[in-house]
Amino acid sequence: MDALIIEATENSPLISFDTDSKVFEIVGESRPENVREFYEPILAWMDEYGTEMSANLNEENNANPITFNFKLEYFNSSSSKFILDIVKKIYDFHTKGIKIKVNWYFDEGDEDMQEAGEELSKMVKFPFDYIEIAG
Amino acid sequence: MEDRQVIIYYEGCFKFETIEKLLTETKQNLNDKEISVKTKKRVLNIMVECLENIYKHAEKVINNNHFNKEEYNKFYKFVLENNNQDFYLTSANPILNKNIETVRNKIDQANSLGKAELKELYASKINNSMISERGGAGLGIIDIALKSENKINYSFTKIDDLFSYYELKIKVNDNK
Repeated sequence: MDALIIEATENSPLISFDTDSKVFEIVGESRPENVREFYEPILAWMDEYGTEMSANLNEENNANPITFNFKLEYFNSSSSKFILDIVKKIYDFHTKGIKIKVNWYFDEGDEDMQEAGEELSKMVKFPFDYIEIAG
Repeated sequence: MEDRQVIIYYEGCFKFETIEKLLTETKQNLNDKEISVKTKKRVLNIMVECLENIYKHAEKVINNNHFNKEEYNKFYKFVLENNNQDFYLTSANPILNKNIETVRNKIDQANSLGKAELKELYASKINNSMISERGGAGLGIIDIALKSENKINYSFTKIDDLFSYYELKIKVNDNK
C-alpha cells in the first residue's frame, strides 16, 4: 500500500505513514476546523492497511515493527477522541499479530502532554515509550 | 486589585481565522515571557477551548439573525491578562436561555471534581461519546478544569427572552 502523507497546516498535524520504512508519524498541532473530516480518512486508511498487512503477514514483512511516533505539540479536546481512535487502531494491528511500537514525544517540562500519552496507553492497555524533547 | 497587563483583548466577529490570528499573537507574546513550558501550553490550551467554543456559538447565532451587527459584536469577547504570576482568561458569548442549565451543570460538575476524577470523566467521555463535525462532546470544560487547576468562574446575564450573556473566567497559575 502507498504511504499516507498529509502535510501540516497551522491547525492540523503532519501525517506521514511511510509503509516502506514502517515509520508512522503524527507531528505538530491538532485543532482542525472540521476534526471529523480530517481524521476519518486517516482511520479508514489504517483499517485498510491493517487488513492488508494481516492478510499477508509473514516472517519477513513482520520482522521489524511499525513504529508510531506521536510528536504532538498540542491537541484540542475534540481531536483527543480521534487520537484515541488512532491508538485503538494501532492496538488492532497488535491483536492481528502485526508488530508495533509506540513512541510518545513531549517537550521538556510539558507534563500534561506526557500524561495525555499515559492516559491513552492506559485506555488501550498497551505500553508506550516516552521521549522527552530537550527544550 | 493587582495590576494586570492585557495580552489580548478581542471583541467582535469570531471566524475560524480569528482563532488563528489571536493564537499567533498570544504565542509571540508568551514566548517573550519568563514562564514555564507547562504554563505557556496550559494558557494556549485553555485559550483554544474558549475560542473554539465562542466560534461554535457565534456561528449558531449568526444563522439565527437574532442580533443586529452592533449588538452581535458587543456580545463576543475574549481577554487574556497576566500579572507576572498568573494568567486570567475571560471568554464571553450569548447563549440560548434553554441551554443555560446544561452548561451550568457541566461547569459545576467539573468544579466539584479533583484531578483524578476529572481525568476519569474525560476518559469516559472520549471513550463513549460521539463528536459532532465541529467537535464538542462536552470535553472542553473538563479539559479547561484540568489545565487550569482552579475553579472556573462563570455568570449568565439575561439579554432577552431567548438569549443570555455567558461569561467564563479562568485562572492559570504559573508554577515554575
